[in-house]
Amino acid sequence: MQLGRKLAEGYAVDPEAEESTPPVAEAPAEPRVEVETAVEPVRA
Amino acid sequence: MPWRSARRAPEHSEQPLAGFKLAHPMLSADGSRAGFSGVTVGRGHVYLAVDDAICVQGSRHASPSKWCDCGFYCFHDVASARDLACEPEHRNAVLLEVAASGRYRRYERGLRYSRQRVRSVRVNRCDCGQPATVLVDTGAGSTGWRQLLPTCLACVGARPRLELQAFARLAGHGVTISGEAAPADIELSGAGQVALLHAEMALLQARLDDLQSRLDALTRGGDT
Repeated sequence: MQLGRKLAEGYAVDPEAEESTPPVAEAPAEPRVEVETAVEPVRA
Repeated sequence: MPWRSARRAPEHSEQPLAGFKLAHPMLSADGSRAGFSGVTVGRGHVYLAVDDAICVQGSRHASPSKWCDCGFYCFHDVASARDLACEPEHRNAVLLEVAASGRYRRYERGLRYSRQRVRSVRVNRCDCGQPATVLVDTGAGSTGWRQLLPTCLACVGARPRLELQAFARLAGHGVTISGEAAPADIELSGAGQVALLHAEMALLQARLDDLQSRLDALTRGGDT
């Protein structure tokens, strides 16, 4: 669908769409990966 | 000289923006929900009467994105959507009137946006030229969804059918649906009537010639 040149950006409110749509579930958080690193003992 | 930014401040509207687009009517496999699939970028994705855009390229960014062509699309005026419907691959699509909202990008001929509410569905005529009154399975679709085709009662045959109003009820959210009116008898000019009569006479003459040749063949066969 060719829409031509971009003119502007914006935000529009539609109360009917807001009321009738169930809340969108948040995306699951990325699994936290814990990496164990070998620590060399330090001799004083 | 002070530096001035060429970037415009974002627009804000307390009302949705009106738009028009083409789509294919879809029915869920269990027959409980009606939706739509796009005819261009989002042809593999089914959306409901009220829905949020997702990136059909599989990315997890908010849609529409500056860096991607995803998002809902619509034209500002109905004539542009009707022009697109002239392309052969879009002949079976339906015309949607939509309310566009959320984040949007406004172009010369239309919008790309994040949230959509379908207001009305206008169904084209059946391939035979009569007004379409039901929807039938095209045999195409995507996982969990069957693509539907507007058809008249005479052309349905034994296929399962879905009434237009039933489709609107399944779509929900107050979606209305209507079809094209029956084709009106066209008033032809004098020259047009002459051309039409010539064409009909040529057709009759061709059929008479065919009948005559068959009769001759039968007569010859009877003589022997």
